[in-house]
Amino acid sequence: MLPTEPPDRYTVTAMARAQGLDFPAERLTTLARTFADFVAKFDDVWQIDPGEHEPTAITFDDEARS
Amino acid sequence: MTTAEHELDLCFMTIAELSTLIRNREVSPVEVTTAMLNRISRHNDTMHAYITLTGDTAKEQARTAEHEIATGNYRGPLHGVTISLKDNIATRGIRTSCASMVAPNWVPDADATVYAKLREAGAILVGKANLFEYAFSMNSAYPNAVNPWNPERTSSGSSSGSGVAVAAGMVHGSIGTDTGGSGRAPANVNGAVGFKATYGRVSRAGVFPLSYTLDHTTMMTRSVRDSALMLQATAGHDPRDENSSRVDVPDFSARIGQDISGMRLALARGYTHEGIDGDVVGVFGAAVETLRTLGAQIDEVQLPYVQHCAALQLATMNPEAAEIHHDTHRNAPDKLGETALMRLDLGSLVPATTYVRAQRIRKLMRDAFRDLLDRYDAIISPALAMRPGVAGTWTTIIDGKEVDLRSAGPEYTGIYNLTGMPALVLPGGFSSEGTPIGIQIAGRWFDEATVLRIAHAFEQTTGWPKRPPYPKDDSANSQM
Repeated sequence: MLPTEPPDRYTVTAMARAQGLDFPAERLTTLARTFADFVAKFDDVWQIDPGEHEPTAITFDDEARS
Repeated sequence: MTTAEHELDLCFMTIAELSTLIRNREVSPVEVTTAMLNRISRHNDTMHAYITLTGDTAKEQARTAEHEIATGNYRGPLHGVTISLKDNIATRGIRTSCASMVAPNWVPDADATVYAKLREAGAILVGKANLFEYAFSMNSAYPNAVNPWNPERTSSGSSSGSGVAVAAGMVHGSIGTDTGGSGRAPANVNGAVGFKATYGRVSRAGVFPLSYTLDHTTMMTRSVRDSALMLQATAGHDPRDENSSRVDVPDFSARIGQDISGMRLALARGYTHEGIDGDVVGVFGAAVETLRTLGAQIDEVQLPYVQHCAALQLATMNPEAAEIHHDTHRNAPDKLGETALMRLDLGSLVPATTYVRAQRIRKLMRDAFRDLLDRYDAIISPALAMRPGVAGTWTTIIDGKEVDLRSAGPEYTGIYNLTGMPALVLPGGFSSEGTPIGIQIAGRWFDEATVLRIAHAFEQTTGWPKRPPYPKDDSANSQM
């Protein structure tokens, strides 16, 4: 799935099952909508060039965060 | 003054006021604790500020404090002062429920570091405060805490009980947590001071995690000076917390009382225009003029990456939470609230590539804010865009338009969780419905003292802390 393609219900079902999650229909409908909203919202972030930055948020030390 | 009035005064004193009386032996820790426990026992059934009361622990700690002070062993400004802890903060031998039905009777075998430090400072634990389930879902197993200014309006969250207890005179100071605004939002709507210091400044060891890279442990108090006192007692490196800072701990009260003339403040552009409630605009505009009157130089600036905060918050918090709750999510989903499930469902599906990209952009954000704070001493903004909504809901109203609180929050409070900068919310005024409206001051990493200095200068102009109309007070007579 490309980040710019909102996932459909079947895609969401497959992704969930791949992680050991099997949702009742109502929960799946909600998730498909919220996930599509999220993908659309994050699409703008994919347009930002992160330069040479590495994803150090989890391990950022005092120098990195100040 | 009657006994009841005296007890009420003790409950509503700031920590700074009370500590002077205790140090001078004008009041005793036992007297203070008795007054507070009486008030809590009278009102908790209506206010729901606490999930678990720790009266026996409090009485024992109060007697110890009284003996120590009487024998010349005064420990400092928190000695004999009552505190509470959000109920996702571990307390040895005391139930820590996280306001969830997943493990409602969990009794930790070790204290969180933040509580151990407060005990060492002589503080007295009166209870475990109410919260949203695991700090991220309103569908709590317990009734929502009640806004003491208007019970029909939300007390917000997730540190709802801490905000309500502090504002309603049901504790002198409380420790909450803040992952996207969970400490500052309840301070905003209940009329308290909520302060999250720099990421890593205060240990999170023993605090049940929501999101490793966004979680902060937060001070909830009635005044800015009290916030500095609580932070002083809890800050510092902790080997139990892998992301704990090794930066030296300064005297956080050192600059309180200094004027702010000539200080340069960045006013967050966009926070004063569209998408913000008229009452908030009014209170914030008046606050800006007050700060100018105090001598601050204020320029409008565009905060970097603010438009991406919601996406970055979702891409970070939800996957981290989904990893933390992995087993419960699969094996006992029926024990989780609806909102918790929705967030864990979404977090499970966020691709790893998206998560990694979000962390790289957070690095860009920090660079951009570092550049901004080379030119300014602090950033000011409203605490939130809206007035508090109907109690028990996620929605609220901005000038007649229904808004989801969860989508409106990140641009105001969550931005400083993403960057890890210190950020403080304090009362600025009231809405037309009589609920408090706060302003927010954010500063440079590890420069909490400047944030406190500006906040204190502003606070002196507002007449806060004030007493809310609820709970209604009656007699206060009982013995410890």
